[in-house]
Amino acid sequence: MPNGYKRLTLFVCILISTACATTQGRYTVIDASYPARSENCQVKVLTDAPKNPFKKISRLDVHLEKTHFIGSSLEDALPEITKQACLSGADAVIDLEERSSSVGETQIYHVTAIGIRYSSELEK
Amino acid sequence: MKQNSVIKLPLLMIIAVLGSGCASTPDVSDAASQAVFPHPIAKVQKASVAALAVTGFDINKQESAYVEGFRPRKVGLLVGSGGETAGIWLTAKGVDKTEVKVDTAKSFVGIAGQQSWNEEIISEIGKALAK
Repeated sequence: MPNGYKRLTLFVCILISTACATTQGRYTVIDASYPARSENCQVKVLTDAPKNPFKKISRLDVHLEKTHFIGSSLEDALPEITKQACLSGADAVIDLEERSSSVGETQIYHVTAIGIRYSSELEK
Repeated sequence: MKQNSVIKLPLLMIIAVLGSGCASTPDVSDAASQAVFPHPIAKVQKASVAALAVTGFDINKQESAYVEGFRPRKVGLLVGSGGETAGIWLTAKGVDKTEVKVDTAKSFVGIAGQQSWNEEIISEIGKALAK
């Protein structure tokens, strides 16, 4: 096989393997914005609202799509959820909502959550 | 020389396909789906952004009366998906009433894997406003 064909085949393979899945993450400020924390900060994902006083500060959205009939799970979305929470200045995440759907062979998985900040941290 | 042309042609085609595929633009006159929500326009605008995020659109434009998003392309075994551009037009019909019009523009390339997201977007705006 000529070198040119090898390069073209490699290019097409890379294009296909990198373009068959997307991860989109974003946050929206609810009221006022707070300083971002580092991307890898420690954020707890809570199943129930905490007992300590807190304020809802951000809406978090993570959207995963994969072709080839491959699905996604909460495990796949959590790193992006916590990253967006950190960027929005949240201390923890509550109200996780998952939804799944599909378009042809594309499996769609979306998680919405709320970033919260503890009242003790609000004045900082 | 001949071999070079054989290699360059598919590469050029791929680049042209990827480039031209981003060219579709939604048009308010094509907006088949519309709804009126009993909320102020600023609140409906926020809900529109949330609706685009939930349906997998990257937000391209975020103005007070217009929001636009593009769904990234995914290459699939058969048809893949993505490549649609959705536009949401907002018109205040009073202090607490906003009319929403939605149009999904499909691009020529990969149209088999594309669909109209108008109804899903309107439904998601309603859900976001209900929270």
